[in-house]
Amino acid sequence: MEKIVEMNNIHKQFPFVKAVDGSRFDLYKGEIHSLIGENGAGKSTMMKILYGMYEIDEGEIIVNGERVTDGRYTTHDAIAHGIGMVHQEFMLVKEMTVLENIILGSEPTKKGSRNVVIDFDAARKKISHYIENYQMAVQMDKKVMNISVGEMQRVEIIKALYRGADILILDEPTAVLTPQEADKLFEILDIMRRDGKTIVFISHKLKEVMKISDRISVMRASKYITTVNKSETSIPELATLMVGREVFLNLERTPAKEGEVMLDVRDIYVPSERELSKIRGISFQVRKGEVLGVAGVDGNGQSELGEAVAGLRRIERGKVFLDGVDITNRSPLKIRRQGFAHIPEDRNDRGLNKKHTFAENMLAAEIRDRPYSRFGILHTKKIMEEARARSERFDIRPRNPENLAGSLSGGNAQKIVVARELGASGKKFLLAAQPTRGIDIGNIEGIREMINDAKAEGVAVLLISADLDEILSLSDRIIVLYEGRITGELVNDGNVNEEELGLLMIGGGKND
Amino acid sequence: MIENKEKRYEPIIRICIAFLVAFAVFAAIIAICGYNPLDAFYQMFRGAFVGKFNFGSTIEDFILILIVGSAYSLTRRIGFFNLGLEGCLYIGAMFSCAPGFLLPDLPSYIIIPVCLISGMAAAAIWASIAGAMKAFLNVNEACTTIMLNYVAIALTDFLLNNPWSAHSAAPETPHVQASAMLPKLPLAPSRASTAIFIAIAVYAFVFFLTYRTTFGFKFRNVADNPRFCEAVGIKSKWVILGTVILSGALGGLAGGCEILGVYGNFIQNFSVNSAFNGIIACLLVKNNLALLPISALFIAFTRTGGNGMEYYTGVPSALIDTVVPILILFVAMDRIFDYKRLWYWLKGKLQSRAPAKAKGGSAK
Repeated sequence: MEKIVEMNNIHKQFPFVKAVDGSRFDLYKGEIHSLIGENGAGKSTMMKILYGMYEIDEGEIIVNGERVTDGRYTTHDAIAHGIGMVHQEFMLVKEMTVLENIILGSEPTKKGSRNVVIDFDAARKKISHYIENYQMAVQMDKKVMNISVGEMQRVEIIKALYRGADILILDEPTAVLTPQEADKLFEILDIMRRDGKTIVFISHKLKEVMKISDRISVMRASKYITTVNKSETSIPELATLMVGREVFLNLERTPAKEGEVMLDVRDIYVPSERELSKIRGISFQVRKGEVLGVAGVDGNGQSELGEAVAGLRRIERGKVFLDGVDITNRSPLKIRRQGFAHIPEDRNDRGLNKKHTFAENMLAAEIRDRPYSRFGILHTKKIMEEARARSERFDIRPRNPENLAGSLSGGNAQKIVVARELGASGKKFLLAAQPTRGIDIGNIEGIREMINDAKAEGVAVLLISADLDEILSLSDRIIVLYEGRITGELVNDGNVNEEELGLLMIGGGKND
Repeated sequence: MIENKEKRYEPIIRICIAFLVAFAVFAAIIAICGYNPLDAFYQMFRGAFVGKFNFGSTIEDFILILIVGSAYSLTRRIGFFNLGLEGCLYIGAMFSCAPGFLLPDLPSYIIIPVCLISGMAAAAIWASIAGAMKAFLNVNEACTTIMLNYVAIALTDFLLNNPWSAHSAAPETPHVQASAMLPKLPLAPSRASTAIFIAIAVYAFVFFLTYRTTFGFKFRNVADNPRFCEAVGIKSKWVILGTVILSGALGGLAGGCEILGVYGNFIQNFSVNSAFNGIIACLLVKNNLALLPISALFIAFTRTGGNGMEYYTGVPSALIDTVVPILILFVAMDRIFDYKRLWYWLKGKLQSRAPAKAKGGSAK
């Protein structure tokens, strides 16, 4: 096979951080090459260098036999060499249609119009070619604001192809996708590979990496570790390479205790931003010392359910009781005072205040209480002591509680949230919404253990997660949400398989 | 950990560089106008600090600017662009003045607190209008506060012309009783009064409130992430309202100090835009409370020093009005004085240039 990209001895220094330290990477034509590593390992930086977004301090890049780093190498040059990149954050104009977004910046113009009149027909023709060849269903005339995340991603891919990309870099493409959308993406990638395109797949989800890659390169702490063939490796081996030690994602689940009912949700109706009654009549109970997992494709009412229970969203109808006390439509503060802990689904949104210190974030919910404050005056020393103690207990790195929350990696930032919610005494119930979304594998392991430990101590846990592995490894019982209703309830006795759950998640199943 | 960790002193250094650059530009402007900048600066300094009258006048300005700056700092921290301090100052001044001439003669230790508290309460109520509109109806505060300023000034105009008129030739209220006046500092003939201690106390109070109390904790969080606050059980709306009211009360106190410390009665338009100097003092240091007194002193210095400069060197004192905007401009874009990034950029350039040249040479 022909080697089309070679990056050797790449160094890149950012202020205060060596982002890439002597790494290498190569690509053969027509392969899917995964680049894996924990958050902050330098994968994205490495690929942004290849895409010409960052200048390197040292090293060489060879594309199609040409040493591009001899001169100035920019994104413009990268595109000219047939390199395209789909970023983690989509770069689309929401107010414009899909078609307009795709051609933006390289619009075909009508002949004889002196490059003034856009030839939409020619564009449409060219785009439908990609749509048909790669089975990428996109609606060209819809505005981007009205399409799903999965479709936005396909638009981004077409955008890159439209500019003549033969090498396509996808930066954590599945982070925003539901399992179904991810599968669809893999099909598309597979067709593209057969068509001779070369794909770089950046991820830290090992299952997906094993599913679609030909070769896998591992980065750790800004350094290149190794490249392996998919056929010669396994998930545990990759995890070890990535983290630098062995990880055990299959944690020993503590058996559930038959406790009294802690959370009692009775036939609630909850609106979403756009529609009334997104959740239509859900009832369930969570007992002391058990984990109830809520599975489902994202957007079937999980977020609304979590926020409603936490008092952050109005409940139209129905009641919620926590340990016998009616908490329906109570203020979040009052609900918290009942022993309610909440890991919000988006740590950057509700979970943390990134501009404030780690200590302030960690104790934000308890700051009014003694010993952290008296008569409204903060006891800074106690706050720092406690924050330091919790950073030990929950293994948050770096330990210094005076760091800004925004300066920590995703996994450690999420641990601050966990430490805030589970570090306080007297917690009876934990709502954990997407507790390990978008964080690295070492910290996933840690956070799952913390949830399991909380359960073992008798806390009732409601776990909402789009990650089926997480649901299966932590839950004692599982309910499946589909379009705002519960389509099935299973006891997780070890015999539940993903297919069965998957069927319930798309609305089929026993109760239907 | 790609994010830069910024040391605490770095923004301070950047602000200092901005000051130096702004003064260099100012010096250039003076030179272009045909004057000697060094001479001008010397006279400016003398005009602000040398001699009892000059120094006292600077202190007089400093008092007002520090109180208003502290008040503004509170609302700035919740992202509330409080331009209504001018109105609060007028209301506070009027209602601090009123008990002074309405009540029978009382000893100082009773009448002074009564006057100041009355002014603060009135200003707090005034501020609560804009605060409540922002908190509960999400009305843009820049609009409401500016418009309410005009209403406040018109209201004081009405009061001093009608029920509380001194019936003298000028539009003013009667003088407050002698015991209501704050004692002057021994800086006669300047008008500087012991309100300086009130100003320092207000500043200390704001500092303490912001960093050492639960209320300060709440309002520091509210601006940065209201959805986070909701989730951890902080009632953002009430925090916003409370902060604005407090800020308004302090603005009213500034007005009270002007009346009891300087003027003795409320004269129409006694303070044109003086509250804005406090706001500028706060903006100038990007709401860094530790630097606020320095910045307040600096603004006071430009105001009084400008007069000295004009008197002795002939540089028009209007020119001094250019230095503060220039300074604000440079502080606003202080990232261009990000010496560390500049350093890395230079280092990167040098490194990448050296091997590139070497490569280029070998290729040829």
